[in-house]
Amino acid sequence: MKNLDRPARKFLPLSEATYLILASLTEPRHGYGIMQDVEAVSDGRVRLGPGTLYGALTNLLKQKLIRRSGETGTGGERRKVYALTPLGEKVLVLEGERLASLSRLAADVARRLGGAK
Amino acid sequence: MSGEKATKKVFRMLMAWNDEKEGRWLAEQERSGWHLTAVRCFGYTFERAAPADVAYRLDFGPSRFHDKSEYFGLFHDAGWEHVGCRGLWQYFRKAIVNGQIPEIYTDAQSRIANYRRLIGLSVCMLAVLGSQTATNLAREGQSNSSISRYPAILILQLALMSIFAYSTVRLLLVISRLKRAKPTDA
Repeated sequence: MKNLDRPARKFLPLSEATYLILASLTEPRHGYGIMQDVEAVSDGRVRLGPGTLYGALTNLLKQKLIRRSGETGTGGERRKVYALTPLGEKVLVLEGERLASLSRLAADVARRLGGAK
Repeated sequence: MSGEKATKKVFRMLMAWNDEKEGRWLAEQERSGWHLTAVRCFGYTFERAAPADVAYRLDFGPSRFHDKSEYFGLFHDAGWEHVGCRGLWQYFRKAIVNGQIPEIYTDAQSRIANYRRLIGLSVCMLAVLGSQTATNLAREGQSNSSISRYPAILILQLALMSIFAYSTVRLLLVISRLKRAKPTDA
């Protein structure tokens, strides 16, 4: 398999909205599903407006981090389904590692500041 | 007024850098009992209705080359009603519930990205007009016969070019304002 490490790093760091959208696509979802999932996992803190989501999906498709994966529903209620590409998965993992190392630092900083009181 | 509904037609230009102001104006109409029923090329049609608290948003939507069903689907799913369009500007509205003002763009980055698209289009038009004008001017220098015919076209082209140049500058100012503004929560 191709090494995706180098091409994936070009996309870092991700905006919060982009990270949450990619994280939500660890299983295939349609746009509305992404909105609901992102709101749920962020405890209602992040709500994606349709303009923001449409722009993000268009970009992610262009960057080949996600792909279309069929449709759900019938008739007027048809919705396109999106899924991560291998490159998208790699970006998500690398960004996760970056955030995890920041979060370790944040815990450390909180401890030090707490201790200095 | 008995029975029949009063309507009014309003002539109003839309300026690309004023989309937020336009939305606020439409919301103001709705609050004062004028419900938007149609978006027309050069204005709007309103109908008398009970005053309501509604958010109006304009979006510079996808071009004709894109599949718009996905675009409109997302807005519909998020509870926005599509009212109409002027060119590529799409008009949406959504009721304000419990004072919570809904937004179609929830971070500054995505809003800025869309204004950049608009600037790209404006710059494109400038380039096309500019090269046309340059060609015309060059041709004018060569043959005497055409000189008298060109002033009107030249003036029109220069006028259009200044409009596009002006809107580019205004849009750049909107972007810099958005960049300076505090990031909205989510």
